[in-house]
Amino acid sequence: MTLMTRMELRRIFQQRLVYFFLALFVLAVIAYSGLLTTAELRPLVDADERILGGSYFPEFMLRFYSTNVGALFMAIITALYICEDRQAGLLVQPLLHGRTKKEVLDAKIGMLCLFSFVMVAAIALIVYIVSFFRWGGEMLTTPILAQSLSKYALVALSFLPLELFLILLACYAKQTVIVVGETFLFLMLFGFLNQEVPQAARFFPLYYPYEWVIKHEFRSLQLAEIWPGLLIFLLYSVLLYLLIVSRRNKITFDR
Amino acid sequence: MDTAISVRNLTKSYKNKPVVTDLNFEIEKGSILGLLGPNGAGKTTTLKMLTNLIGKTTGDILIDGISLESNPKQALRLVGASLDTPAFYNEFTAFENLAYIAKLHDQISREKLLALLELVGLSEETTKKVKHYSLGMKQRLALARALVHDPKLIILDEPANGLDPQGMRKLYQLIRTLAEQKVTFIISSHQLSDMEHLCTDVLILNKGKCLIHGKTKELIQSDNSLIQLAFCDQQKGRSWLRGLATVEILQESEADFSVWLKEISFDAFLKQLVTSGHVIQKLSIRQKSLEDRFIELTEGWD
Repeated sequence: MTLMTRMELRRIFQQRLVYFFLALFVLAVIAYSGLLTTAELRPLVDADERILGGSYFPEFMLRFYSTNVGALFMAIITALYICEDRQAGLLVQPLLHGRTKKEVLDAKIGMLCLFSFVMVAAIALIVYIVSFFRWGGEMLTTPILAQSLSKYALVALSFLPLELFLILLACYAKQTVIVVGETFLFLMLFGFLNQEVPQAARFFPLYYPYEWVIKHEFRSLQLAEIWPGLLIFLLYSVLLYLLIVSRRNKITFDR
Repeated sequence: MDTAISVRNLTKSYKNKPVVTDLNFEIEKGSILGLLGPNGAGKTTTLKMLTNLIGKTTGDILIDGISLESNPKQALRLVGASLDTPAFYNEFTAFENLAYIAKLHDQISREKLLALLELVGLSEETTKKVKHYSLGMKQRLALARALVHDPKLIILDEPANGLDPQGMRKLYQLIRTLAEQKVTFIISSHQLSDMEHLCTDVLILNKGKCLIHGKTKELIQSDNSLIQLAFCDQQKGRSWLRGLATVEILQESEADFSVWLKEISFDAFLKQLVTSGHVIQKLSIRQKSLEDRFIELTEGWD
């Protein structure tokens, strides 16, 4: 990891918004798990078909982050660290100290991609801890644990092309509100495509977390269901990175 | 001349519209160059080209003999800059902001950063988050940041913005001290009277073109076209002056006239005055300020 990426990561962990979002997620997980409900109400929560008791609770909670919420949260963070930095005149500071646009953008890409993985890991940690306090070690039995952890890992990978797309968007759109607004529109458009023309939706990375986490919820995935998604992620990631690189010198760093 | 920066035929155009045209200048090490000009003159574009933030259309920039185009990293190691309103990581303290930038360079000690904060008068505010700083404090911190890697050339855009008179005095004193140590400065500012006293050299830009460049003292002293004149008979004197097409009365009072010799030399005017037979009570050459020269040059341009 480069020095600049480390410095950027240090900055992001000072961002209050991250902790605020995680705190909201903790509250949501506690509410869904029924951890703080009365003993009389708990069997009702356990009987909820969507949760399927404690074993599949971590997998169930993943649906709340894997699609729209995670994408919008990362859009805000990306816009904050690119658009807001540019507006504040911070993007040019490393350039004034002999660093290149490539180094600055690579540091941002490295930091944001790593951070998107860290967020999935943090979500997993929260969900497993709450589950443990609510149901004990039920979700830790080997096949169930492997199944849910593999889905968390796949979701983390799905953030790679998404994050690169958001970085490209933020490089061109000068304001946070535009990046978040365009991401929202893009998600709506994809939702429509996914419902109306699912065959076409398969060519987009966003299709796969939906497929793995929501459509095939609570069952293990076959290799044949995984590799097309991984291939699409790789293809899009390479394509988007090359697009960022090819446009790098035309991107305005100045406010 | 031991040249700190050499700019040759520097031009910048946006969509074939020139913003800076054929700019040429050299500055000696330890000089303080005031880059002056009205709004939209091309000052900021020039500063951004000198710091490689924007590319030039044509021309060369050599910093201590190193080409900014072919060796940008090496050339920029010699440059410290603070452009626009100073920008900082607001959630960090002053010390952390400096440390962040210091990490981009090799081996800059904690002691050095603390010394820099002391130099700009922020030693008691090192642990305060920058978001609580006033604009004046940010200006001083920006200067400290520009000095982090011991640059030989410092480029400052409106460094006195937001500073109180004491702050300005301290800043100018600091600039002079560093210039004595052979650090070269390029300062863009609208504070013309301050620039007159601070800068050893001046370059005035208008509409992207260099109107004048030279030593500040020479630019001010070289001009004797502005005179103060008083006649024994002011009435007759006024009529005589008004009859001359080569001069213009800029100001007149009961006591005297301020006259601009616009198309006649001082010697030729003096000859005319003597032959006119008027009795003169007072005649003096009025020293032009930098502001006078600036207004004269930039207004006359159109």
